[in-house]
Amino acid sequence: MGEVTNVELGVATTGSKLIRLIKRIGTGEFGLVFILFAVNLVFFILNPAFLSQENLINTLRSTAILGIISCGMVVVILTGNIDLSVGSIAAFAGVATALAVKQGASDILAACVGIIVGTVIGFFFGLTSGLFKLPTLLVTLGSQYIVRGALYQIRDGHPVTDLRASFSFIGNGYFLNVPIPVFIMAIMFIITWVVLSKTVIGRKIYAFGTNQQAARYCGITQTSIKTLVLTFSGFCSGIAGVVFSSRLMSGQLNIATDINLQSIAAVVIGGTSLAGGKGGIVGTIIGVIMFGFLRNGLNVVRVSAYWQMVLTGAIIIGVLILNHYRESKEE
Amino acid sequence: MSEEVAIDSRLNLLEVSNVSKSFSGVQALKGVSFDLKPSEVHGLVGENGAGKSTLINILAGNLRPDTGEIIMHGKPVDYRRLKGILAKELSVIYQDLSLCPDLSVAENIFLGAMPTKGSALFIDNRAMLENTNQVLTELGVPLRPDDLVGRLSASEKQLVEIARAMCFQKKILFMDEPTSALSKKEILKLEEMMDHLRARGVSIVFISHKLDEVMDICNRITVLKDGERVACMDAKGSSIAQLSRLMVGRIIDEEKIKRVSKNMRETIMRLEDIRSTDRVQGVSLELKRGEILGLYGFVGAGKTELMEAVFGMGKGYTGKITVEGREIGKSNVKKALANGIGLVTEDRKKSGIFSIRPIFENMTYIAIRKLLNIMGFVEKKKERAMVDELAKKLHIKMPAPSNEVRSLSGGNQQKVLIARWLAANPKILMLDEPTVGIDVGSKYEIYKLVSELADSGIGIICASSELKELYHLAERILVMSKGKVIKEFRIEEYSMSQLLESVSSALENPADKGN
Repeated sequence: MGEVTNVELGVATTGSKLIRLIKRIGTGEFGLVFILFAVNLVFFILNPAFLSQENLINTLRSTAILGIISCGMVVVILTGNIDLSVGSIAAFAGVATALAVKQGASDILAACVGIIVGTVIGFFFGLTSGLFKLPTLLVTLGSQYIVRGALYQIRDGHPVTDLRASFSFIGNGYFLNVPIPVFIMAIMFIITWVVLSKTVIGRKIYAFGTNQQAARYCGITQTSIKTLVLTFSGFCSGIAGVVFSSRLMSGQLNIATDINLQSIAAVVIGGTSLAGGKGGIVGTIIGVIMFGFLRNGLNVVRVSAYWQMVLTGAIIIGVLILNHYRESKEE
Repeated sequence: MSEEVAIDSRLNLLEVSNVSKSFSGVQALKGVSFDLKPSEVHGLVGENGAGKSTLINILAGNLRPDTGEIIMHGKPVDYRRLKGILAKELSVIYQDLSLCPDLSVAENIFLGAMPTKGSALFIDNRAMLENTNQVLTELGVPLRPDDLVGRLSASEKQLVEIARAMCFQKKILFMDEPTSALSKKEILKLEEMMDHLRARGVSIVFISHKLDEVMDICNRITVLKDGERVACMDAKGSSIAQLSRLMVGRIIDEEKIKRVSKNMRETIMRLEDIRSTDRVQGVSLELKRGEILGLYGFVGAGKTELMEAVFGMGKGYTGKITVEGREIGKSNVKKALANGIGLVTEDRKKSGIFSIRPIFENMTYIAIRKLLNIMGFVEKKKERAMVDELAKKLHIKMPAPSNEVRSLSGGNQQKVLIARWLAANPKILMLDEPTVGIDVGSKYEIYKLVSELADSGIGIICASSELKELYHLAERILVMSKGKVIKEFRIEEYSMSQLLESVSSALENPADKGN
């Protein structure tokens, strides 16, 4: 038999790791990354200030929340599921954090409150999906309204304002010249990467996403996986909520309304398949960053937020079409 | 090797001449010629990876050959037009049938081509039912046009597929492993049907691993090996030994392959009155350490359901399972795993392999706990060592362990699944149809493997609907029918043909209950 260099299958048996990575990007394994890269290049050409240090840092900071939430989203999508409630949970957790601050809690304590709130909500709906064998798409479709609605009801429509000035450190502060949210995003990326690629749980996630039936025969249950991934997604949303509140210096009720769409787009741009089992955090990181820069660039040239929404949706569909062609080529 | 008789090419329904095809550097076909005469059943045999699927896809117009010609009625045809031309002439009947379970027989037959009345907006139900009735009667199929396909047995579904082909007067049928889900009686019926079709001028390409059937049913047999056609011969003069030798390159003396049972071993598992809501009606058995116990029965006999109940996946299950003297309470998968029970499922694609994941991952899922370091992370080095050892032990042919497991042949995929369990040191391993859809050469390798596993002390239960397979593998065979064990046979007391006879009569006379 001849030499087998399976570049199409994403694994080349020749060349260094870097060359392999470039080849993988070229074959679209990381989705539309290279297209977005080209678009960003255009922005840079139009306005070199685009890649100035100040703009870079600003962009990264504004992407941080998307990045944190996408960590949860990619884990959910890898199992073949989806979480539509991330925005609502982030808002809920953010308000909870703000309330804690108002009650006199320290930064750390308030952050814990927010994170725990997000995690518990995620756990609850994850367990529900698992026990009753429901698709998380439908459960989180409902839970996003339950959570957001409950939030409005509890607060009677009023945001939490007048927080102590020192609370703004998490969202607006710097550490070693890097914005704190970016640090948090980086830490989350690392944690997610470690879990997905080095732990048993990571294997289980990929297995379940690839073939749920076969996973059953290996002792991996629907209940455990769905509970796990939605809990983790809630955890990430909770962290995002904390950062939100700190940045805005208030607990707003109407934040993160289209972050669902954006995080799904980022994950899908990065080459993770919505069917599950394929993809990972590396692609997601690239997707998040590319996407963030794209949005920043569009803001700079003053494209309206509404057009940006249109574009985001179009990108998702575009990536799906691209993946379709890649799959049929592999056959 | 008999030479094919030269025949006027214009008479051939479909023909390829000297075709070659390669995929990313792997040569799947090398200079293969194949022709189909009218009114013939032409068998196509070969190991997995020999090129059968590639050849069929080229013949059906799905793939473009790198070199060579496609010829219809003596005239060369461009492969791009082939599919369109064949749409009226060819019907392919796959192993996993492509019918819609929620529609009726008539609707399935006319799917995509329903007779209409008036302005072609409305379905002419009457014409559909009449036409369906006509075809069903002609072919002698005892089904009604409004029967729901989802409720039919595998062989009935197959008949519907054939009826569909005949309704549209297709001249060519490709049948891929058509008998894997059929009982002996149903196979005979299928043979009758194929004779009937042949009389009407239909030609059939019959792909199968069951060499005895191929010899019975076909007029000519083409043997592929490593992408080349090594023979095209009349079925009449051939023998299984000859075909095996051509396919594999060596003689497999079937009678000699038998398991020698050892004595004096303790019981490792005892099942008492196992029942489950899906089909198992009270089964009790004992399995000894190092023993291979065969479960024989047709589709629906309850073999799979019994093993699933033991593995903890049975619905509404009752009964007692005792492993090494300790009773397992209500069984679930976690408990089964904790007690060292493993199950290699029937359909490796559906519930066995994780197709797009790498080979090494597929091997280590169950045993993964052994590869963790203190922090709970998987140690790649340990994993690599485990995978290499398993691949060596089981003779798994893989270019690289990080390739997707779906790139392996069926036989190697099955070995990966066995490796997955082997890595976990099970006490009891249950195998459900372990060699279904696997070529002859790999089959015997797997038999040897399973035998070695048993020799190392694992208790093995192997379910199969191929009696011959169990003859080679098992020491005892339990014959199951309708969810119960109706008789037990000790292999050493029988020759293969004697066993076949005894088992057949036991199944036909269930009143004759044995041990």
